[in-house]
Amino acid sequence: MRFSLPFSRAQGIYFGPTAAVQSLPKALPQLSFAPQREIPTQSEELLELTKEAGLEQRTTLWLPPLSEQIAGLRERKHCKLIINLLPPQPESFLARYITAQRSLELLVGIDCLVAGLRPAQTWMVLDRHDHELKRRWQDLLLPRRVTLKRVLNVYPHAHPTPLLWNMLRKRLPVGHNPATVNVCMVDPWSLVCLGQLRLYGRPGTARPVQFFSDHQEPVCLEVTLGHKITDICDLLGWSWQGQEMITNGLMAGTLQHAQHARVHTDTEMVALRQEAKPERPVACIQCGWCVDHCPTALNPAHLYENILVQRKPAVLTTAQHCIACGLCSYVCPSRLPLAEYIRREQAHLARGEST
Amino acid sequence: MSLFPAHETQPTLSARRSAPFIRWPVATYEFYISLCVALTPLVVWAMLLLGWRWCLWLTACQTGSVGSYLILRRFTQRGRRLSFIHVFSGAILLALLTPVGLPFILGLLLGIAHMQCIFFWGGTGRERITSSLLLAVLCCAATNLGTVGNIKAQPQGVLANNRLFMGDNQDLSRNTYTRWVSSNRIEGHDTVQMRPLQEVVGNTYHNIGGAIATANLRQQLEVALVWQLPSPHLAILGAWPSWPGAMSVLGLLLAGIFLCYRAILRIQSTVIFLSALVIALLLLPIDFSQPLPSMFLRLGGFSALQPGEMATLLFYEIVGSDAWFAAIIVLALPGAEPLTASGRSRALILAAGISALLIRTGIGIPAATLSLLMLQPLHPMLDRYFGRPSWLAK
Repeated sequence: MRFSLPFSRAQGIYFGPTAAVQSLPKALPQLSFAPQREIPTQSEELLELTKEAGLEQRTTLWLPPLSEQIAGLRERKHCKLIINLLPPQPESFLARYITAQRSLELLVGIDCLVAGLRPAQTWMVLDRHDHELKRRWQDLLLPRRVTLKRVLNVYPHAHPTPLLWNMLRKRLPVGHNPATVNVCMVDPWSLVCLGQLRLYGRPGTARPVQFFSDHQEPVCLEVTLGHKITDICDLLGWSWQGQEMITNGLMAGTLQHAQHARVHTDTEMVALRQEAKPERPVACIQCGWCVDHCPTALNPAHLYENILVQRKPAVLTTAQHCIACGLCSYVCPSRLPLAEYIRREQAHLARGEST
Repeated sequence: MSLFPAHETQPTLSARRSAPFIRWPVATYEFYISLCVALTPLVVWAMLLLGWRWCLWLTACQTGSVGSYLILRRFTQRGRRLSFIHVFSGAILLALLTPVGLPFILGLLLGIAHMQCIFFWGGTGRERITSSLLLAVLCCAATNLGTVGNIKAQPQGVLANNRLFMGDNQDLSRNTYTRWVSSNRIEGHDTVQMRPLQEVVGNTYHNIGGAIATANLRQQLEVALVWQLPSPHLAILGAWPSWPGAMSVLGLLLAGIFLCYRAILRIQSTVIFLSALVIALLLLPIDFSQPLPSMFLRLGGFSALQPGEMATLLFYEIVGSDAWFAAIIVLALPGAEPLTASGRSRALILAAGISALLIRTGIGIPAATLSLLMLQPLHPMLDRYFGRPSWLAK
């Protein structure tokens, strides 16, 4: 048996700011050349720019592509722009990396998006406890009308559905475009791609990927898209043979075949770890932890029972509100595969099937 | 630096092929281990205060439960799927909530019955009513059948018989203020005989209720507060006859802090239950033989008691019952409350109301535990009718 730190049942699991990237640069690098592209003044121009920057594809796990969001906002006025710097997964430190290495491109990207979208308000969402990042962005954003919003970094509050509910009390159905509630939510790397295109005139062909291993310091590298992940592990000197390779986080990521895994536009992190021993699920003990932790207030235990046995349609349809964060399975003391079954049912519902 | 939070969950890394790939390191086994750790102060206190008799009682319960578990595990398929730690912790709970001084053979039989209930109800998570607590409550009810509704006729409670410590503290004090429970030599044994706290409080209420319209009220109060009720620190420490697990509020508080730290006990549930119980006790008549005047005693501007006196009597009433045990230990058990927050609060308020009624009627059973057990089969219904749908569905 092993005792660990407790978690707050009421507020989810707080992981705190990561200290992986310790220092952030004090000064912004000076631009010694004229930008290659004009700043977009219309949403059509902005849409073209995003397509050219390769932002027709996802750049993060939970957000739809930027071009899709901008296309959805074309007919709308007074939209809200939310720059989401919250770590999408507990172990992520991408926002700090981009702030440290690519703040110029990020700022230019913000300028492009603000000029093209003309949002009524622009918010930048940060971890409440990451004071260094807050001070840095307070300095950088000085001439711009961007409001810093500091929220508690509770997993999975970076997901657009709980984030919009917590900040604006807007109900965004799971998997829907934030444009449907008149919001554009953007991740930092999309902005960097946009800023890169305006400054240097070339679309992004690489993206930052964080690498984790059980016994190594985590690193963040900018990797060319399509590169084999095993090659990068070899370059780092990390052994990947006989290890599990998980992309995009341990809570909501995907298990990859190591030999075939490549870096895609939405590959934010790669974790290598020893293969784990199998755990045997036992009967639900009705502890209610899954209900306490569900960010969309579902009853995963009841839903799981219905998926397996009772199959009441009224209960099964609630599966469509699952954001697939994996918290219910994470806390379940009976080790039930709640998230897996609910995701499966959600896919059936999306296809209009009944199993 | 290793993976965070994976380094916390190394022993229980999930081998599933889909997310999440990490698990919080409290599985069912750790859950019940934490419960056993939380029960340790209560067990130790009961051993120290009640002596070797209670140690033997606990051993008898454990022998009955664990022995029949091992037999069933050896010879049946279903027995193999049952959890040892669930049976073990259940037997401790059983021993903690049964009256002191019963024959050991009964403990053995209760332990066997406990295991049989678990076996037939399907084990952890499948038993709709916690079998150990149910058996303990039934045992208490059976031993009190002759005195139900007539608490004054109840025999004096035996706090200790051949205590393990402070056994030589024999009737030394003649002071009105009791520093420690003193004992008598009865048939060569170091024995402490006292009336249970619940009974003392019940008699006090009866006397106050009878004297409410007379000048005797102050006198009755003085008799109760100075001569009959123990000092608060002894009541909190648990040196007063009650069920072994419900005696020591201090031990229960320690258990509660540990269970909260392990995120097993919801502190909100404890607060809701105890608050609702206090409110219900305030609203109910203090003596059911004369309900109307005693109700006026508590409500409105006719209050004959000072707020401090009311609070003191309520304190002894709650400490003397099993309210703290139910609010900390029973509520920490899986399945003790509904799954949804709204269903949970309604169930707890209802249980507190029933508890207050049972406590006030003076039945010598663990009323709060019984009321929570009575509501356990209704939890799916409470969840269904009162559980709120997801905020996304609105």
